[in-house]
Amino acid sequence: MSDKKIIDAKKYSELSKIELSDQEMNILNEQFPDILEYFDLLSQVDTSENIDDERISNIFREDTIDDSIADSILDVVPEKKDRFVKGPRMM
Amino acid sequence: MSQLSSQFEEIKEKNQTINAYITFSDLSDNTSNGKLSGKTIAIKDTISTAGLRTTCASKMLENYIPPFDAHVVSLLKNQGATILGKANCDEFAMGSSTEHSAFGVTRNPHDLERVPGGSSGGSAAAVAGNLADLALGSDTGGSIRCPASFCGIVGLKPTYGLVSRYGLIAYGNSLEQIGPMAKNVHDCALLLECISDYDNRDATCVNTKKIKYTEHLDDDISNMKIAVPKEFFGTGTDPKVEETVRNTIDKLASEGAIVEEINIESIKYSLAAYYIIAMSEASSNLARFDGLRYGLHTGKSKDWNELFSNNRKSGFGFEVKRRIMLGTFALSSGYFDEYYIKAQKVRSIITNDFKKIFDKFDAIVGPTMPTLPFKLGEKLTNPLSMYMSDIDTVSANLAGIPSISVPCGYSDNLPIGIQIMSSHFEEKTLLNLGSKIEQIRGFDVE
Repeated sequence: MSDKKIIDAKKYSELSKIELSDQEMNILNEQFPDILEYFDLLSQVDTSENIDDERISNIFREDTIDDSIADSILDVVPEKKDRFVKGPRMM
Repeated sequence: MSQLSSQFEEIKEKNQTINAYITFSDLSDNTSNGKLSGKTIAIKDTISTAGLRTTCASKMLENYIPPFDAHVVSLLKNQGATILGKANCDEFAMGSSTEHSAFGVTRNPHDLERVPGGSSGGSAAAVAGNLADLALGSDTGGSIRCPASFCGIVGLKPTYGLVSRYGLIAYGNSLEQIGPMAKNVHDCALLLECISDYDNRDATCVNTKKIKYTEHLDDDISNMKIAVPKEFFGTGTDPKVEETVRNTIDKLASEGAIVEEINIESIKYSLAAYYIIAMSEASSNLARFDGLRYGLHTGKSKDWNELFSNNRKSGFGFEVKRRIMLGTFALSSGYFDEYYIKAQKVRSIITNDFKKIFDKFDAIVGPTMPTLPFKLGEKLTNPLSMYMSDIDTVSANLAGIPSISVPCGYSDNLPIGIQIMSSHFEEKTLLNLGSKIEQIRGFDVE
């Protein structure tokens, strides 16, 4: 079908910072139009009315210091310097 | 050798065929005395266990050892449970067959050529194949109920907020809950009692009154009002599944339940809304896996972009990549309103429709899965057909309501599960009805 939406896997692989092989790219480009066509089922639903969702409210707790697991978290960092995570250069 | 260690050796032997476990524990003695003393348990590998490797069935976390326990894991230890190991699942819980695992597929103990369901397939297969008494799974769109149905056991997805998600590695965090899986409704109720506990480290955890679910299993069900939505028996439902589920509903009616067929039209939009929301949340939640602070680290790169993209390329499997991409698309400028916002609005409509149903009814009943367990590989190359397997389960996650799957019959020697949903925090209704079904279905699960 010619009216199916085309989305470019390359663009979204860059946005989501996942490098893809050519083969993966081809498969996704082939599968995406069918999946999107299914998602487009939602366009049949009238959502023009204001829909209230009473479930949503903010939950807060006191900002207190707990038993810290910072040291054990640092133990699993692959590359670090002192107590800092070491990353590649920004540019 | 103690009885437990020899049993453990047998389990390891059986696991060579079933592949229910990714990692075994060191079987350290649990000296706590509690409701779960003497019970063995498998924990889905999306749930953090201090000192015990937690992989999410992904290469990304192949060597990750969490520095802390999930809240539910601390609770199990306090109640005296013996943790046997970490159960296989679809990578980051994304799948309905446990075929998307970096550690190989799990096989269905009822037929080794078929899938156990997913994503908590290892948890279900461990219980069904006698590789554990109990298991914990997590359910984002059916991931506890689907494998429970396919493996012939009981699995319950609690109300959103009943069980703490602290330590559950997030996939679709507005949808998912950790939940109990067991051979029978009583053990499922017992495990739920142990894990439903308020925890302020999960901001969505609700501080509710503790309920002893095991004390409500024999409550009278006569005059209980049960709704049967026509939409749960849509095209694509295997006639054998429909017949078995309808027979069970008839038996509930003979026990005095008042059964009425209804329509919930918004259900037909639930699968699309679910996948858009789940994938969008996945793209955001999985952004943390850059390999910098923990997880797969591929080594030197010239800059951030290259390092992230390389780590994520090597660490994630194809289904995870597919969902992150689609989620990134649904959240991207130009498509955000059309997909993500639209799906959220549809979610509210579905939630409101369920609320209206529960003003009049105590429970909603239908099949858990539209089909019998399918063959390994059958749906692997067609993602949309795999997604369709979740058609009857996702609406409970969108609405945040609890839902259970209970074995109700067999066809071609393969198990069939009946699904029951109830209003928020009405788990006792599910367990009560589930227990009744066990009494009237005419067989025991060994």
